[in-house]
Amino acid sequence: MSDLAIGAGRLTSLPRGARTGLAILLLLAAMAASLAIGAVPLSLRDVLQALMGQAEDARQAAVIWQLRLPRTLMAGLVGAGLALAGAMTQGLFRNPIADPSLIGVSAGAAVVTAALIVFGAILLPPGWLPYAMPLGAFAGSLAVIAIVSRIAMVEARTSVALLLLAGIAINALAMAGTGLLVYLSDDRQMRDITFWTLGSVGGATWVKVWALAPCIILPLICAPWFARALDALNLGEREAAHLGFRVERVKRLACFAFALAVGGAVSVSGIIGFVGLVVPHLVRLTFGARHCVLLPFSAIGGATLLILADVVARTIVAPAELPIGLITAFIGGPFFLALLLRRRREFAA
Amino acid sequence: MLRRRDLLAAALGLAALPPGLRAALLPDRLVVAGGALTEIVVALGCAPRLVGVDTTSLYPAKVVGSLPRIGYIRTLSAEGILSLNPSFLLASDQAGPPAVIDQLRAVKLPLALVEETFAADYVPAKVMKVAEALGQETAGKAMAETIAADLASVRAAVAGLAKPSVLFVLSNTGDRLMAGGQATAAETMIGLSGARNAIQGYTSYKPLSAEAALAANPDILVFPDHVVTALGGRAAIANLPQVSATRAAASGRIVSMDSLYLLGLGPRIAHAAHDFATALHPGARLPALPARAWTVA
Repeated sequence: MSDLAIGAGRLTSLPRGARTGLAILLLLAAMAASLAIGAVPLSLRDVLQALMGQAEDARQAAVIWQLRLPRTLMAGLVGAGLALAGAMTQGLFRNPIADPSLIGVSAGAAVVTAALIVFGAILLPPGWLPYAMPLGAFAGSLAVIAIVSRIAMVEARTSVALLLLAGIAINALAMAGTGLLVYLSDDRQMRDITFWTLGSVGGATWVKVWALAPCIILPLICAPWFARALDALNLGEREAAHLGFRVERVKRLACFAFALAVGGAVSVSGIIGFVGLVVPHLVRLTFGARHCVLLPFSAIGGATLLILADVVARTIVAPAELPIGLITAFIGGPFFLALLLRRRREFAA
Repeated sequence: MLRRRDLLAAALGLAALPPGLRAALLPDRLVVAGGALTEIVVALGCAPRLVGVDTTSLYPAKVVGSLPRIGYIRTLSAEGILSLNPSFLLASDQAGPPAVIDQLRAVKLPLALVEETFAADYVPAKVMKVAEALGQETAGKAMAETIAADLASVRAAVAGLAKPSVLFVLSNTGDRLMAGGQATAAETMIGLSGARNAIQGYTSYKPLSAEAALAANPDILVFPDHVVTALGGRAAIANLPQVSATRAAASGRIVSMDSLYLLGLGPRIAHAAHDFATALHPGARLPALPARAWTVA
């Protein structure tokens, strides 16, 4: 048996409290690393002093308070939101490859954001754009999830094949819309759209953190309530209804929560693929598939992954930085493939 | 528009101070984002103060080659810039993303954003704005006046010539050619060099179709050097289906130039326009411009 699988086995055999503690410890370690590591060289003492408000140097304090802290929080919120949304869609649609980007939700948010990049300056009063972008991205993702889930519903059941095909069609439409906007845009707008689609949490400010926090924390608070319903949905929609769950209401609320998390995350960070698909699977493989475990651990895992990916993104080519979407794919892709290869027998059943 | 903050406001007041004291108070660790701005900074003699530039700052290679790169002008990183311990950021108003500029303001890094436009006559004004930001008004004024005079002599030299129509191709992606329309540096340089843009009706650079090229039917095709190389030379370009039916391809009038030099809209603009005009009007004898400090670096 492989090391990974043994490690996973040990993790599953740990008591629940220990596992929770371990996950939270990892998250805290990632946050500490994110505060301590960066292009500006700061010692741990500098960081602690700055956090306590006793920095000797005003710029050091500003680096911690205005740059690294909001950035760490935003990366954590975005990662938690994307992973939670991924876990919820996978449960909701009973499909292991359902993911915000696969069924077009990210693309829906992207097309609205691209439209705001190109036309926002004409359509909106100056200063409104930073607030319009999250709302627009949320509206875009909500619209897509509503359309896709409506199309995929046949005789009160969600057809997974229809869902994925509708997602592909919506993806193509949204990409064409973004392409049209790229065509209409000037040089500068075009570059903005391009880099936006690669993802970054580099523009983190406290305003964005405050705007994003409710979009992620609300769905997170509702997660335990969704967890039981999603477990029941795993048996099938009729079965869940027989168990006493109001399936349609659960689905609608879950879609709303999911669009809120994805729309919020996408609007502040651009498109960061992979987190929503892979983190829930990693959690399932190591902690088990019950949603009361899966949802919170996905959120913690997503936050940890994205914070660490951001540390890499902003230090590896310093003083410049790489788009974070590249890092998540480069770190997570091979790791996930390795995990799949080692455990693929379990998928054969 | 130049947004003066902190040090900048002080810099203007500094003009009254004795030179020695003034130099001591001026920003001594400069980060510059914008190719044209970097050229101006170097021309003003401030190269020793540079501690970092963006990836669009490629000239003069001697100076910028060894400097740390803060990344592409539209994807700057606040902490990356701060890690160079700068005392001042001079940036084009194209620099971004806007959130990063906001972050730098939040950490109180003194900075100035210099507006970029496509107008040739704006270049001397741009020089003045940079000079003011760096406290080099005297040198800046002389430089701005020289560039304005050079621009005027290029204009005078091409004034009497017939205006050929020119199609400018910026780049190729696969077999798509991106041709320059209105509101581009290419159009500015075409106009300045006594020619007219064959492409009318759209702004920025857009993919060129064979039919649109034929409708524009330019006398001359202009390609950046690196695109000519990528496409396999002038003969290969004349045979490209997008342009093969045009007058320019039939007569073999294909001009190539270094795109950075031609489109920089920096201090070398008049000299670039002169060289471009010489290539566009092969029969005419255009008086050479005197070499300037910023064109020989």
